[in-house]
Amino acid sequence: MTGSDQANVAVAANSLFKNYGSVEALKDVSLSINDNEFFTLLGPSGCGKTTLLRIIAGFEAITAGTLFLHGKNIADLPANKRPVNTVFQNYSLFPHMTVADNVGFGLEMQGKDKQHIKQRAGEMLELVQLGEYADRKPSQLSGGQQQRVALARALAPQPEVLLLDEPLSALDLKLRKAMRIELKQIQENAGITFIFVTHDQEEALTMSDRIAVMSQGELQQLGTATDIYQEPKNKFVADFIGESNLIASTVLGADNNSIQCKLTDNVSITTPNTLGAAPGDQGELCIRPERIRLSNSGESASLEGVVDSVMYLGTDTQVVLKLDDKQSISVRTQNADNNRAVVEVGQRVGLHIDESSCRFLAG
Amino acid sequence: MKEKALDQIKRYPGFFPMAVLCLFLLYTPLIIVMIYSFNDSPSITRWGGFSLRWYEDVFFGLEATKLRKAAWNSVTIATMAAICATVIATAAAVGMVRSAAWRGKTASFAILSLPIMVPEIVTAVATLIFFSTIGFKAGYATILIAHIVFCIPFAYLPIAARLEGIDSNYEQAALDLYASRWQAFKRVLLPLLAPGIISGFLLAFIISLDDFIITNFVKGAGIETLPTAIFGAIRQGIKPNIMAISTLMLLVSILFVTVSYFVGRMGETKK
Repeated sequence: MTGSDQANVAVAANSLFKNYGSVEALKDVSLSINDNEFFTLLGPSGCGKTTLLRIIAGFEAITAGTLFLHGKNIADLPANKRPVNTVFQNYSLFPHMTVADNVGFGLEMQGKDKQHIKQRAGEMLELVQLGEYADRKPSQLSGGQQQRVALARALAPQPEVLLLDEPLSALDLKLRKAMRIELKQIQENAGITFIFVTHDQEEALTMSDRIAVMSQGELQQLGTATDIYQEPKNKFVADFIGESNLIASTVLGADNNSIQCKLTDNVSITTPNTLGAAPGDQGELCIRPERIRLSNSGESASLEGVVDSVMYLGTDTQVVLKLDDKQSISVRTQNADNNRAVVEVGQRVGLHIDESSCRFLAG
Repeated sequence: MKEKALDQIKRYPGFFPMAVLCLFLLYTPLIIVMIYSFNDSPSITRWGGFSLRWYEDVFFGLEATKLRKAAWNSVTIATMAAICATVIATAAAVGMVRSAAWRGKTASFAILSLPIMVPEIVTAVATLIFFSTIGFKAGYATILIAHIVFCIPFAYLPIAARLEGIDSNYEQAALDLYASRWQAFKRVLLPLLAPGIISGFLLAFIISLDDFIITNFVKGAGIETLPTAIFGAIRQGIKPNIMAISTLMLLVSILFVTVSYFVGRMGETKK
């Protein structure tokens, strides 16, 4: 992905506000989405991600702000004049038309000739591996097949940007996982910008080039999957993306490169100073459960805890411990072999924290 | 003995005798009229053997010209009134169901469906007073206008009910795929709404076809519809040809209501 070169920006939103009466659905959202990018809007329900998608599609008007598509102001263009197509959450395939007519609908409305429409619809159905289903009605297809038809229909008119509104949420887990890979491949092959809305962080992490995490109408953080997981900017992102131990803490000392944060009365942790914290700052220490290791027997540790619960989760085991100041901390150990150390409830165990992976979040 | 499930109809005491009583009161007169329309005797109470003479009388007898004219008026008025009412009701339904909440939306719905609840005689008198106040000459046109107006709520209800069951995402999907609002309506909403529209049209047609009270008030002299012609004929004594004509109207009504019912259900089970 190239930088923020103006020519490569597909969608640019500046200070978008959207109010429904007295409810603020979007508050000062600014972001730019690059060409050929798989961009995900991620957040819990009611965070404004769908509102933002509907604004880009043209179904909602903006209260304030500007919206550009490839340098062109589209804020006042109606939905049918925007070179943008949507894959709806419930697909919304026209039930009275055949699959082929559904896929060709956009081209037909653009006034393309019949021969071209037929050929393009056929190509699109081949792309989603539904070539033989052209003459069926949508109701004769399974959920997963309908989903592919919806994708083919939205891609057929070659939109500049494709919007996807939680398109996988109606599928079962296995199919959803297979579709993630397929969607990503289709996006790469088609060379079209995808804007994908989801509340499922795993979906977001596996497919996206960049992710915008939203909450309560505000953009919380924008970055790659690694960025938002490893460098969360605030408590919401740290908590929403993956699991994390958020432990109340104070900055004891800081320089440009690192800070010392209080963990318990006797133990402090040295972490990179990525967010510019200063001594005395109050906030939370974010420690990922998989970045903590339990001591092997006979190994000494500066930090100890008493095992509170052990949960076997298949690929890994989650152990919750109580530190000396009664603070709870969760640890994840991979079940990589059969020789893993077995801990029991009530046992006292040493903990080793990968300090460079911890982040201090002020606030 | 097998235990009866709680939802079995037999568990509702009194249902059966009550149902029999109601069905008897409702349908016996109709059945008697139908049977006696095939009576060979001119008496309306004594059976004189099977014959089609009263049907012949309706089509070719002394009053045939008058009845045919009245039937023609009824059918043309019902057709035009139902078409106009359906167009207006469709527009009203799209506006009412698809719009976001606005001031007066509930009131508008009440006003739209109120004519069904207002006693017909009140509507009839009011319509007559209205026409005579504005100096409109009573005749074919006044009947037609009155029929269009009172048919609107009957056409509106099945159309609105159908529309409420259609996800508004379909129209958004059409707009998203470069359709204009008119194209989205014509290509997507209208085909999906069609069963409701046909159902509304048939209902309005039937309501107009057998309206008597309002028609009688606003028709003026010299023009008859089938119901007013039948009423006029009965005033000179009940002849069996009235039974024949009633049976014919009943069959038309049953046909239309049945078609309306099945069309209304079309496509719903497949979803």
